Amino acid sequence: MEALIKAFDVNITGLIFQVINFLLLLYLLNRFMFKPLLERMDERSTKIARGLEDAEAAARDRELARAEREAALSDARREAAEMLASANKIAADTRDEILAKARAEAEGVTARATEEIGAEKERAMAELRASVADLALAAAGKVVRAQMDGPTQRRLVEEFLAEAPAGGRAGAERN
Amino acid sequence: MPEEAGEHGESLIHVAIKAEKLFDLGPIAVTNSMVGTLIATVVLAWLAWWATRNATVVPGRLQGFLEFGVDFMAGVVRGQHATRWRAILAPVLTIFLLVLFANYVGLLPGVGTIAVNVVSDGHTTSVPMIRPASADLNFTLALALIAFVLFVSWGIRANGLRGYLKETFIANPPYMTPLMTPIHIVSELSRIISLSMRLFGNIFAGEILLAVMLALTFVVVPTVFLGLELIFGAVQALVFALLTLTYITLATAGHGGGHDEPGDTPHHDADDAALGAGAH
Repeated sequence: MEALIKAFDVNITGLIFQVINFLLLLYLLNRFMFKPLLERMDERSTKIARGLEDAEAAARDRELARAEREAALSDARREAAEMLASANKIAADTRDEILAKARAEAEGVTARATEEIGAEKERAMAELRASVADLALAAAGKVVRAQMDGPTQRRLVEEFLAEAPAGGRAGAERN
Repeated sequence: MPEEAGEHGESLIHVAIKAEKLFDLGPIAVTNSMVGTLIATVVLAWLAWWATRNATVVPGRLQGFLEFGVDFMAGVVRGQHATRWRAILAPVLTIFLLVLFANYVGLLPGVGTIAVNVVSDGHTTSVPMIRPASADLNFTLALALIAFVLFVSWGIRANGLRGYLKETFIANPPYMTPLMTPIHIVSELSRIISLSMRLFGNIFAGEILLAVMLALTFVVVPTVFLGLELIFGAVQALVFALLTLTYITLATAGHGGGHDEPGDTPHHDADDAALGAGAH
């Protein structure tokens, strides 16, 4: 054994040097290599796991957003249709109303015109009656001036005229 | 002529089974293998610092490469020790990297060939300035002792001191103790020798092989052997680290008492692995 140790020159200094060297290297490698690398690798695996989770959540959100968007779109479409229908209805109503009003107004105007025409005719008639009486008196006076005095003649003519119908034609025919 | 040839041969192939002293630093005799150890250590520590100084979540090429290695070893350790894998990973991975770099120091140009003159006992000898650390038994024995301390301490941590001593010194069944216990102790201690000698032998032989090939042949032939040594260096580093892990697994699994069944399978697996690696 001793010969072996001597042959290989195994000595305590060499052994201690190598042990210290190993422990130092163990510390250095652990501090500068294993720990940072393992930490980064752990970090990476958690990050990848979280990324996958996030991607799943994003896909879920996207699906949700799509459904929401479609719902909103169909709502908007329905609302627009409703608005269009109500606008059409309002327009039709308004048109009917305006037409009715115009019709009523036209009728009013016609009625008023008719009334005025009637009144005018009445007045013309009265004027005509007066002038016809005067003319008849003058003519009769010329015919029977001497035989009759004025007031009696006049009373007779007026009676005649009062008996005559409003049209005046009967009175004229009687004359 | 024969003397000349002899001298010529000696200067071409320098074979020393032990590390050679370069100079004294106080009480410490600095050997050429210490220089090799320091080179491996410094390069490794610098690489660790440099490659991870800007470690990011999205890795670059170098960081990705290192992560691949760390993750590979972490996967192996995690497969054996699901809960305490981080505490076991650091020493096992350090052993692997240190042995790997120590082996590869021997393949650098100039290592083993650049010599300095050292005066000892009155006469001058020519000594290679750098010797790969793994070709010095002090290095491999120190690592084997560290591995021994690791697996004994993990055994104690896993089974308790009583449990560990009982397991080591009392056989199952107990009447087999006189026969089994000495075998068990020898097998535990022989791991130190097998670990250290396997690594030393492989790398030392590789160094001699390279030296011989350099002396005997042209440029191309040693290159082939350099390539082979690259593979052997990695394999030996892996064997050393995985055997350390296997011994830790054996020590923590236990094979007695209440947890017989879960301990049984890894025990046999680990034994097979140990045999397989030993065969190499």
